[in-house]
Amino acid sequence: MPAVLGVSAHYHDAAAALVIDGKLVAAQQEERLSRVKNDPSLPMNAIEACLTLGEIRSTDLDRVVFYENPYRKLERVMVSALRGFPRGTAFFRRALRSQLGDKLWVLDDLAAHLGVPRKRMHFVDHHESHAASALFCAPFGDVPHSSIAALTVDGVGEEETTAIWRLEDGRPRRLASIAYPHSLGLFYAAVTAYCGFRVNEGEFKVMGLAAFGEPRYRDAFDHFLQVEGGAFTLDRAAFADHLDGARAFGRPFVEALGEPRTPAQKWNYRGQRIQGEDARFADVARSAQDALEDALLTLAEHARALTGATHLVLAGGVALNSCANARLLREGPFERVFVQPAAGDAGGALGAALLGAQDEGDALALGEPFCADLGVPIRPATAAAIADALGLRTTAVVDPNETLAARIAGGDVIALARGRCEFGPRALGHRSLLARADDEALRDRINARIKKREPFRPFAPAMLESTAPALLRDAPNDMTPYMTTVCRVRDRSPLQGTTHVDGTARAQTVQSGPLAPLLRCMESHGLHSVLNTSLNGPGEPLAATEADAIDVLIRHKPDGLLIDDLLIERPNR
Amino acid sequence: MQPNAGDAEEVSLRARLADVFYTWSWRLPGRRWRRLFAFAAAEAESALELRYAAARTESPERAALYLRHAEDEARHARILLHWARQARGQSLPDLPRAHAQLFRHLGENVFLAFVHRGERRGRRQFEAHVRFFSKRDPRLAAALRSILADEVQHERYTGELAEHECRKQARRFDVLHRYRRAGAALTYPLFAGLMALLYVLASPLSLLLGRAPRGWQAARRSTGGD
Repeated sequence: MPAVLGVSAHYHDAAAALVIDGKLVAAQQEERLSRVKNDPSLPMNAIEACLTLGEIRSTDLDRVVFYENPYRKLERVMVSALRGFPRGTAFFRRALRSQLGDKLWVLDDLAAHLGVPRKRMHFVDHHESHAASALFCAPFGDVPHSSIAALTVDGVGEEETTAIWRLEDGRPRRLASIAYPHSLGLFYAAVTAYCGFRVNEGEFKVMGLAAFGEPRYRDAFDHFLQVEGGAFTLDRAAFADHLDGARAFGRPFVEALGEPRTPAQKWNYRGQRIQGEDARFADVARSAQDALEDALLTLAEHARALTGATHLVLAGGVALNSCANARLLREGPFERVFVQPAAGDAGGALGAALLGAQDEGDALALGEPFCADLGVPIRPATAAAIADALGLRTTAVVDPNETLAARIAGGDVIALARGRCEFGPRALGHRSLLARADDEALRDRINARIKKREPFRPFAPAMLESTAPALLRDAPNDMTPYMTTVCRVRDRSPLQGTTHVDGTARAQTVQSGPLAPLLRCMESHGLHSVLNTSLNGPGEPLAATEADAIDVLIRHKPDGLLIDDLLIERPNR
Repeated sequence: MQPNAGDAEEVSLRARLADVFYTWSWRLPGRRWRRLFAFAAAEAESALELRYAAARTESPERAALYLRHAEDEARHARILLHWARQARGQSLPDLPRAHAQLFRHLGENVFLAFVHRGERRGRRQFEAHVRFFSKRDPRLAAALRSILADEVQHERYTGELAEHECRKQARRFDVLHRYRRAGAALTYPLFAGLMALLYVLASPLSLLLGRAPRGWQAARRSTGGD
């Protein structure tokens, strides 16, 4: 019974994944347990959780696989710092501190923490981990391996930023790659920082902001990001990731686009429009988003030419750009496109574990639908005890789905925690905040009062797959169950609270899982969808445990929290 | 916990010393916003520690106490950030988001004793700050007083829960913790200087590197290993 642990750490969004007998039994992001958003530290809490869920001890592990090559990474960082001489002094110092402080010794640290012999510690390449996470989790069971290509697009791994893969003898084989410093991830990070958002966290916000803008700065971005011969290059003078990772953009950005936005300033947003000086940032976001999408389409065409494949899987942080994924499916050369929900660095742990299992001789079950509920479970009895101690009102409800449907139909915002926590950034119904999808005022209330986030950010609707054709112009596809793409909404669909200003929605189509019975109950209330957003507050990771879920209830004040059949409410509500 | 007479004398001596120190330190240029920001960072870190503890404790009653405590700490961080922003007159850097996972490393009982020590220290500091600002900036003093009231309550409940025999361990850890932080702060300039020197010495290697490759590169073998 080979047991293999995959680990990603020390950049952002650390995670662990456990494969036993070729089957993925658990995957957990560290942030959900440490409560530090995008926590990069060695994921000991996540590892413990995975071992508990797999019912094994660390000494039972046959192999532990780290998701990137720490030695090649150190080499790339040093080379990059030297290329930046003499401006890279601060970068050199910071890089050496982190590389020599933690990153270089990660296999030894893991061995020591786990009490596992060092010889069981292994690593694989960063982009190979991403490729494996996409190829091995794709629902393409009926498709020959030769018809599936993978495109990994990231900030940077060891030295690669982009790579094309296909499966050969059941193993990902790299066909071509683009090296640092030319990186679509770093390109988007620079735009994120320019618009006043935190790098590696605010990229979703740029994507949402883009819908409000016009591509007025497209010429500038065509200069910063040049696409030619099926590949792309960055104008390095415009980027500063090698000098300051948090700022990421250089002087040419400011000369071409104007002064950057001050972080955390209030947005000038009224009547579904971004106004005043902020409109310029919407235009910048739109121009950058268009440039990114065009570059991705070019890469996809190159991947198609190189592999002859008809199916594409994507991974890496850039693959979480759901608008780009929709355009790839709509306009790209592939019949089907799939992005698993943990496509970022957390998913690297998943890929590393699956590659390690292969090395242990396990036959992986490929082609099955990917189940994202791989994290820690929630315990209603514990939640009830904590709620009682806090003086909250608890009720055991007879028909939880009907109760939930009625409350949502009545205009309440209800937190739902059921089963095991999702792996990846999207709440898919296991740790969700739910509300009516057809109410714009409710959307604004959730943005302002509960999520306390930028007013322009959209919410996603969840709907039964059978209902989707009546609500959406685009048919459900391989990505819609995981919210890794967007769909165009039909005119007059009752999705006013979840349709973005450009007429799209990041729709989740549901066949089974925790939202399916709820959505069936909602039909009897005349509602065909539900607003589904993550169960957390601003700057916080998704709630994982009972205490986290109750913490959201008491601090961010949704109208109730349903954990299985236990309804918890604030007493003074 | 009621302080005995000896404690009271000690506190009073501490308080006098603290008043002298803070009278000097608050007056340094740029000190006010930095200090308030540092307090906010400490409160935010504490909130994370307590949420982490709430999710890990086996006791629902303690989970509830930790959650309430975390809520207070998060509110304090917001109040202090507001005043730091006012003092600076412009936006502030992001608060650092990390904590030491003390619950995991120390175990619940020592964790509680450690938190109790921190709360007691915090209460003493805030008493001194309230005294300092009560005439100089009554609005800030009022804000700090509201935090002080919570600190007193936190000190009391953690004191009631912390087992006496764990306090020595907590004190040892506290001393070690402070020693490490001070050590890191003191040695960092040395490290930075050495790294700057190393960077200059290694700089001729940059001439050998050539330009970064552009466009698609041919496949290379994976480098997995151990």
